[in-house]
Amino acid sequence: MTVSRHVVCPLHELPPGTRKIVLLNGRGPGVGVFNVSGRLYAIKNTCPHQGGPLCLGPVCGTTRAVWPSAGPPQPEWVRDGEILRCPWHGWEFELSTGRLVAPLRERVKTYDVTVEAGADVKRLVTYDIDIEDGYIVVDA
Amino acid sequence: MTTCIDVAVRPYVATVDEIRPYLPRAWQDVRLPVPWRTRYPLPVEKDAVGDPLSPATAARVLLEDGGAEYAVLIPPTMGLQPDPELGGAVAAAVNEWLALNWLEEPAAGGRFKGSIRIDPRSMDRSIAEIERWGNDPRFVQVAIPLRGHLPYGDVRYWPIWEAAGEYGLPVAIDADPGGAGVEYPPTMTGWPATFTEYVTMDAWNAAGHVASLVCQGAFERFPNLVVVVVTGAFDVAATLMWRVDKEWAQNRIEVPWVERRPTDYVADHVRYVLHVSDGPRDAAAFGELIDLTASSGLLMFGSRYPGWEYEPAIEARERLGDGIREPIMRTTAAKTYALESRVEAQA
Repeated sequence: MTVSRHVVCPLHELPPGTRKIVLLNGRGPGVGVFNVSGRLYAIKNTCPHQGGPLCLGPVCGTTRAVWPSAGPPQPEWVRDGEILRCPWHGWEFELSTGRLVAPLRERVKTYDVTVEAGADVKRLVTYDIDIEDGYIVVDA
Repeated sequence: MTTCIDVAVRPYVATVDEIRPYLPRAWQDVRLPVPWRTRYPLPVEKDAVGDPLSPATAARVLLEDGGAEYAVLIPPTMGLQPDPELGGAVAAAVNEWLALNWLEEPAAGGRFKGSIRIDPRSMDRSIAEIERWGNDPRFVQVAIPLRGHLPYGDVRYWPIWEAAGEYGLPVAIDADPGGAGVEYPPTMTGWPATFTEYVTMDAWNAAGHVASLVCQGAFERFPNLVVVVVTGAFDVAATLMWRVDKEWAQNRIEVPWVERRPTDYVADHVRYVLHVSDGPRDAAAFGELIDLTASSGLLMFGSRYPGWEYEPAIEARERLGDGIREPIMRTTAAKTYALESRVEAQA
């Protein structure tokens, strides 16, 4: 499958803690592009469970079990910022891989996302590009 | 003769006075609920000739005529007592009674195997009973009532599961009707008006215990724990577990100790005794149900002699297809109860 390159926006328009949902070639449901503490992720905006708008869900952590020497297990919050949880039914995905936290087979497509110099992406778009700026590019 | 292992035989005491001599002296004169103080009296005897409550008759019907290599006995304890300490004492008395009157029955030749009855609300007495009989090769499992006061995944029961695991004993959940009216209603919606509803829905309670054991992490904590659902209804439990699977996928953060798909725990940790009411009557359709629910390795034959659910081995064998007959009638039980090694230990 050929990969097409999509210029999302200048990096400064997607500061840490924000996201954008972009349509590829004008078609939905699009791809969510996330900046989590400076790390960029791009993931398909469709939950494989019921087709929910995955990328509208919270970026968060998840729980794991901690077993005391006796008594019941306790939940511990881990991996903060690594998980995207579907707003519809709570399925949890690793932002970096699209895999479920639960040991199930379903996964979400993720895309390579890079920051490239304006001069290098100029040919990919029909609008003006600031060649001094860095641009977020998704390969899909 | 074609053989089987019968994992659900219920030796009933004929009257409450039969148990009294086995209680500690201080409790012998205390008022006890009459056995089977349930809404429906126990009907016994379908095919039995003679006294169906006698060990000798049971040995003839089940071992001789029925072709059972072994019969696992699960004596009722008259249901929950208001006082868990008395409940534990009655359970201990029933164990003593079983050991002396059934497990030593000459006509059975050591092929009657016992269950260690406990009242799981009384922790100290439960542990004591498991330690008392756990190394006795005549006993092959621990037995708890279908209706306790909490779902069996609750952490308050965990010391019992741990003790059972240490002795390599499965834990059987079985109906134990009777008691003094302190049991919860037999259905989740309350007291049913008719026997048809009662007998249909009471068995569903076990599915709730299985879900609880999975969701509370008991099977993660005790990898050796095996639960035998004597009341049957594997079909209800399997479809309930499909629902648990779906909820778990979306509520996993609530139960991170459920590391595997909930249904996957069942194969390693749960066995169901086949019940006459399970599934469709048609053998081909029944086979499809087994496939659909991946239950061929989960089921064990149990006649439930001498109650009204009694299903002779020959009738059960007839309604099972070729591929599932042998595991259900014999081999799954032999593995679950490690019968070969227990018998060697006794010899």
